Amino acid sequence: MPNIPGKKTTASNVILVTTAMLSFISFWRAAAIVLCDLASTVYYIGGIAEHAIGKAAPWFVLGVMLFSYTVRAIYIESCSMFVRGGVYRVVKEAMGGTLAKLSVSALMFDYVLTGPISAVSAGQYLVGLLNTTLPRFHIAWHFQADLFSVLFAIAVTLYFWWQNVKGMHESSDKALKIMIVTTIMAVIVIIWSVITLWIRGFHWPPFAPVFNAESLGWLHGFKDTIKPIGLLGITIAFGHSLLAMSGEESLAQVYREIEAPKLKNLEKAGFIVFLYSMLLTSLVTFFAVMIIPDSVRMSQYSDNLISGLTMYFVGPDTIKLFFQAFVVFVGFLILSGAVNTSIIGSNGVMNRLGEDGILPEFLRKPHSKFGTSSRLINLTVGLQILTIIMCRGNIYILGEAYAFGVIWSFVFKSLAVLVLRYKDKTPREWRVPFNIKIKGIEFPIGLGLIFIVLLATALVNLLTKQVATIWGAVFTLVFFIIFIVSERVNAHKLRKQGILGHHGHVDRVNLNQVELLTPDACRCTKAKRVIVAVRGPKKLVHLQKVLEEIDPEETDVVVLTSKVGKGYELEGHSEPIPTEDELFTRVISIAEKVGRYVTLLSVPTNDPYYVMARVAYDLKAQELALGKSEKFSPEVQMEEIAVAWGSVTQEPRPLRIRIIWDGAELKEDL
Amino acid sequence: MEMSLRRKWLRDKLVKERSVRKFDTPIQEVKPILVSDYLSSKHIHFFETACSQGFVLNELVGMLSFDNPVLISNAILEREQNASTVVTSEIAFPHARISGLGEIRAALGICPAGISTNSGRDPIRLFFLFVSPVEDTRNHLRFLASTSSLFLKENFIDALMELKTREAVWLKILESEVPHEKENVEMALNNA
Repeated sequence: MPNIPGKKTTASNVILVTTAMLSFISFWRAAAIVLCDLASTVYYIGGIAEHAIGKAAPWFVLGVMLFSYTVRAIYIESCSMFVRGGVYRVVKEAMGGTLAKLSVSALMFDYVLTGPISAVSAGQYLVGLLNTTLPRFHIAWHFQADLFSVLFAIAVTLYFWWQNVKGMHESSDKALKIMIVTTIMAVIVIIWSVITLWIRGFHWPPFAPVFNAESLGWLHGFKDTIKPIGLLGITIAFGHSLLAMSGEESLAQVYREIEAPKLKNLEKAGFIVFLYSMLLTSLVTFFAVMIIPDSVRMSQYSDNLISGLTMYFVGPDTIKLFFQAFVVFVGFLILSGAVNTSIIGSNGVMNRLGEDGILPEFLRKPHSKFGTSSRLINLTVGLQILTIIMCRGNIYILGEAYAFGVIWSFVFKSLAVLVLRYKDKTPREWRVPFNIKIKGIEFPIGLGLIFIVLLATALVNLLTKQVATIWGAVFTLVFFIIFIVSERVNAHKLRKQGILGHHGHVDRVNLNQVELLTPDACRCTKAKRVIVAVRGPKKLVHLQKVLEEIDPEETDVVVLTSKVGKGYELEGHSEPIPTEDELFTRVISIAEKVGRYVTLLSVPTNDPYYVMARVAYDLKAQELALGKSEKFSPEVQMEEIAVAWGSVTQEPRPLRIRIIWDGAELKEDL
Repeated sequence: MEMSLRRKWLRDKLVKERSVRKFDTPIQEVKPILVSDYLSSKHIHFFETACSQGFVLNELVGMLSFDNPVLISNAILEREQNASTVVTSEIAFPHARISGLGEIRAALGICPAGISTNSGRDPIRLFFLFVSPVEDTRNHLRFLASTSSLFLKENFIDALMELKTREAVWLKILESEVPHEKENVEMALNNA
């Protein structure tokens, strides 16, 4: 029977466990976060692609955007297997740590370049506007575009560096607002472009790409044998336009935060992302080529193509100038958002690597005041600023290099998902379509074709994009060596300390003492409340069941873990509770998997049943769910709770008790 | 293969939706169970000297006039072996669930000198024994909760220890459970 304390008062030394990631967002918000990264490419892809392959660029950008639908499918399948289905995790599961480190090195190159390309692009748009506007007000200032954009990019990067050091959270609300403004801009651009084309008439851009020495790279010696509309020619052009779908990795990053039903919502978010980016990026690129005269398009507007587009619409110049200012404002928002996303993304990936023991320990030391992983942020931002200075404001070079990280992380990802089809036969909730079975052996045709296209593009890019290949390979190799060396040093240290193995990913949580246990203190705002008592990290079937069943609109779920120790009492002071890292991590992982918000409580006690009853009473819960005890039968557990419940309730109050274990449940109302 | 996976996913979704509806059935609020409804003054016994758990158990079971008291004692001991029913340093709630029993039957043993138990704790002073029908889990649990609510009230056991007669103990319990119904208490006093 419960060990009821003599004096029964409201629980007072409860620890509220908080983590930044335990809230869940709708598929609209998830799509907005991904689009802040993916749709921002519309601001620079047209100029970069046309610089490389000429006026055929829009066709290939369209091709890339249509192909992004298949890459989206790979991310959905990987997310159906792992809630945190980013490149590192998936490649590690499929092909081991070494290739995972290599793939994540390429991904780091992607992240390090996302910031600079977005910030420099924003600078180019701003300086373009200033240089167009100031003469109209008889101000004789003319800014040197590349210098201005470099200084602007450094300023924006430093701003977001400081915000991240302080601990700014990525806000889906802000992302949604940015995407609403972007949509308004996009609709105006599309309608105005159609009107312009209607009035002035138009010609479709040619389909055949035109290569130059820069875009053929090391293949320049074979320029006469490469047919623009042949397999190699199309692959080269495709590779130069691939940047248009950079940002797909954000789908995997955001999956953790999507609300239930997670995979269904991921599919919806993915489709919105596909449709939106496909329409926006490809249409704007088409309109730019069809509306801006050839004489000025690349010479004046290659780095700020949408600004150029606005200036060649039909209509009065003043209105066009106002609209250009609006375009620059939206660009500033969405591109700045991408800078922030890149810092947060790389910080998240490096934290994950740090937890796996493959980053130097000193880099993981939290900031003394803000508690953030500031050293990792410093490293990312330092590399980004170095990149901005080295590129000297040249968007084309940045874009070329950027594509290296994008394509190789896709290649590793698709190969890993393909390998997992054979290595991990557990049923998936979602799979890339076109699978055929011959004599019991499955052939994933769809997945295989996507991998072949990505690999072929990556290999061709290696030969054509000299800057990307040299810098990408050097960067990836340096990071790869750092990861390998750090992992060995850390493993050596662990062996010396007598710690034999690594226990896998552990979530970092904050522990906040709650003075008085009340629904408000636990952020319970819904009409119903369910307490789920948890003990062992491997016995959480009941938590998953409860989370799957509840209606999140009207029910709060409080997960309670009681630290049982000699001498503990619910009331009065106690020693600080040692963090139950593994249990918290599993709880967070299940909540993420199901896509439901939970509040985590940790209470020191000498009797867990009394704590369950006390917490259920103090939080005015209608239901208490727990797993089956190893020590007692479910019937005895029910009796223990009944006694504990009686001891805390002054007046009778109904409570539903559920004891849930593998495939069975005992339920009773008190 | 694709179709069967899709079908499985849809089936799982349907099962989940059904279980959500099942969960949503509201908890039925019923009148609270009172210990005094099942414990009469005849079934309260004072033990003058210190005694053992087994002795008290047999005495109280004997008072409840079961057809087969040995069966009841064994059932209570079996339950005790699964988990001790000693709740605090002063009281235990030994109990068992018996098939075919009409309603809950309860008896209270009071031993100021102490009842030694097998729980490894110090001797207790109160032994509240009850047996309930195995067919009615809900009432069994609610009775346990009521018992706990009654006897674990602050200073309640000390107050019982000061009383000298079984009738006074029963009235104290009644008064504690229905404090606002003075008339009922007085009527009960007269009847007693």
